[in-house]
Amino acid sequence: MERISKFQLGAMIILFQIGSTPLFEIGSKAKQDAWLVVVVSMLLGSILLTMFLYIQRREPEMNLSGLFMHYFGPWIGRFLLLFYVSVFAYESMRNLRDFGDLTIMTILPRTPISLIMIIILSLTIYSIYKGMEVFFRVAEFIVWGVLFFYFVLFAMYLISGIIVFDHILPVLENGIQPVIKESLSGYVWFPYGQMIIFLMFWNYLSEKTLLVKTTVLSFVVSGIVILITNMINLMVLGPALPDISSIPLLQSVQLIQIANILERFDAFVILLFYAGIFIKSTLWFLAAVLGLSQLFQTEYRKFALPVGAIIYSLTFIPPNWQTHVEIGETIAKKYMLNPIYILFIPTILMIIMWIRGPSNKSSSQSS
Amino acid sequence: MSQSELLSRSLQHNIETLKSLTGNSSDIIIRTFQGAGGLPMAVIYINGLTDSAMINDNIMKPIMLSGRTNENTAKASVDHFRTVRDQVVSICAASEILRWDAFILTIHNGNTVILGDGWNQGISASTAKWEQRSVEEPSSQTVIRGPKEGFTENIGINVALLRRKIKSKNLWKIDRRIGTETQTDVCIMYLKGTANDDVVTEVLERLDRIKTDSILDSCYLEEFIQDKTFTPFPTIINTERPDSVAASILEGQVALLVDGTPFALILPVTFFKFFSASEDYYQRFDISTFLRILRLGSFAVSMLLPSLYLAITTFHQEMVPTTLLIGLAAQREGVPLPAFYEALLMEVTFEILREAGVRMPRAIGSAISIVGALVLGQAAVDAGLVSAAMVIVVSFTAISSFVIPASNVAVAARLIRFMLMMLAATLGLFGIMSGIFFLLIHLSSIRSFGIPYLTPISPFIPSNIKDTIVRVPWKLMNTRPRLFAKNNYRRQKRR
Repeated sequence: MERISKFQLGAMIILFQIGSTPLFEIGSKAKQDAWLVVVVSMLLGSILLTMFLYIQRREPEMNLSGLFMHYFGPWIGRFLLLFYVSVFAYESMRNLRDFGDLTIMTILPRTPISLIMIIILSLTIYSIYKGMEVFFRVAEFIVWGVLFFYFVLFAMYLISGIIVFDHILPVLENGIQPVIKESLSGYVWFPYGQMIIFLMFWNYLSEKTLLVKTTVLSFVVSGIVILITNMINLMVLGPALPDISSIPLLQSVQLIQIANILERFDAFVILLFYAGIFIKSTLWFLAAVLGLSQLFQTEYRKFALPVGAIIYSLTFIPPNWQTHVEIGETIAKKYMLNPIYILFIPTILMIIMWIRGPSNKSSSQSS
Repeated sequence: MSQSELLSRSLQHNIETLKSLTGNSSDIIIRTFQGAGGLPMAVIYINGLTDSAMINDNIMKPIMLSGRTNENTAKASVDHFRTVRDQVVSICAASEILRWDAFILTIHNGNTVILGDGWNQGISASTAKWEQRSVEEPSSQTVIRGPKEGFTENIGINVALLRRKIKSKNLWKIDRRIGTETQTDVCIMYLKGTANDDVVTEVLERLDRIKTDSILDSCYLEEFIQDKTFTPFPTIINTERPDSVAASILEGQVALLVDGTPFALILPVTFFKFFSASEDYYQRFDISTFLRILRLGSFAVSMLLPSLYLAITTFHQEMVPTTLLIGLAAQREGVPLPAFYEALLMEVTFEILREAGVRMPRAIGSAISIVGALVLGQAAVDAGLVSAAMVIVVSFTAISSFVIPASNVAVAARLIRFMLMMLAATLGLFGIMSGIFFLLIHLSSIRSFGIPYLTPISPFIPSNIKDTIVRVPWKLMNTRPRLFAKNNYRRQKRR
């Protein structure tokens, strides 16, 4: 069985959580309190994380598919697993389309989106053919670069003197309600609730005792990065602009100018955004093919091409970026996809685990 | 007539067999004479591989003289054989030859074979001496400070150079002979108890699997035993410096020496090893650290600079500061070629210049520099064929690629450069990024004898970082690298 180390898991959590998040302004509807939305969402997200970690700690050798089969029985378990596989594939598809559209919006306006997406998808499939361990090693390698570039970026913002602290004042002008409402309406689930994906990977960790420590530490690191970028966007662009701009980070970074020569750090941002979305999309993809392979008891590499083909064709359903965003909103809010797969099903799973509590010791040894 | 046939008792028959086996080659000298009691004898050696003074003084003379004084001692041929071997021939290394294949091999190693009528075996006496390079300063990896001796083409001398550096009973040597025609001596050397025994076994297994007729350089072996064939990145390091080999052996790596080439192989190896020169350890640690970072940076430049230039000037002009952009645009105005072809032209020109510089006779070296510097550089810009900025980019790229101590990684960077240039010309920064990610996934998937190539960054091994990008002072290097050394981590007592 493939194994991942604590550093690899930590790196993957950091990269997955950061992902594309800093590009967008979380909680921009709360105006100058957007950064508080980040904090609140993170706190609420850590409650979800506690639940996931609790589930994993009870069954350290099982991942989501094993848990479903074991606690819901083979039929409901299979159905749920298939549902989760589709959710993972759907999330991978969303990231892929995000990638394509953002690339066209920012750096390659005249290149066909199909070409961009097929290149990313081929890289994804290539890394899945190389195996899970290789993909986690890639994450371990680039996490240093990503954190370093964020650090440089933060330093540049500070040096260039375009940060205006007054932009985040007054704090909580309209009370705490808008902040909590904004947080619950979306940002708990994205990105913090998406930690549920690691229920597919935690059982591969080689040092089981370090599971909680590693996860929480990297969760906090990624949270800090997200928080800082969020605050910087607010303080550079002011409370109004991030709401209407599609990529606020790119706009604020363009304002950096040091000594008339150090300017235009767009390349940094594009690099970070490349790394983030690629890792995120590939991890969703990997979770989907892993789920499928455990559903059909075969090698996960076999599913890389078929799933890739399905994802690729699905990315063309929305005719443009606005529709794509709208479809996402509809599925997440109207059909309540996020609460269902992040909160409800895991809660039911946890309750069943409580009820069937004593029996799990013997079964986990036998499995 | 099979070569593995045994020698016969008749000298005449043996000589005829030898002549027919070797096609009567004239450099195989068969000198017949009479030994003790008028017994017909012969010495056989290859001209040019042997020391004829030694044959005269230590073989021919004693045998002939012993024949004269002890005329009656020529009894049974076995007795005579023993007498000659044990009492007459005054050469330190002598062994018995029973079979023809051993016979052929031993004379090719410069030994002299003594045959006598009635013996069913020969005596092989070590008389090897041929013209060879003495131990010189290595030409491919020079240092300012540090040992200046380099390996030679003789495996015996090379092993001795290593033995002189590591005077330990744990330095073990295992021999193999590879190549059905060349019969090349190959040996692996490692520090028993420190090196990973699994790696040693694996290397020996892979060596034994080689079925080829010839090994003329260590590169033959490298290609036969490496983990992955289709990658531009080398997974085995080669060096002609005994001190780097010794240092690697002390870290638990395995060295592979091949007769006939001064280049030894070291394995397993990780990507970052290619950026450490032996001089890093002979200089102060702060300078070494600076140099290592410089080398990694140069590697990135030599891979990326032309493609970055292409991407930025063709797709992302807004990223260039305005004043510089105006300058660049003014230069590009008169250039007829699109930027990609311009870059390709210059890069290919440079590759041709470099290859010409390596291959041509020394005497016309100055012609190349004139043609290269003046005609292809200055005049090409003046004629409006290429822009000055492009010449600068290409030259800087070229210079950067020479900084890397291991030339085989620099070659990989050269190949990748062209791939990235094409990506940059079609897809801009996005293309470069995709190329880099492809490389990263590829690099992460490579293993060198079971060790992931990007160790110790991924998988991350904190204790190994101190000799990767940085080099900490010797006082702090208390442990050996974790993955090479299976056990015996401790290098020195902590202070």
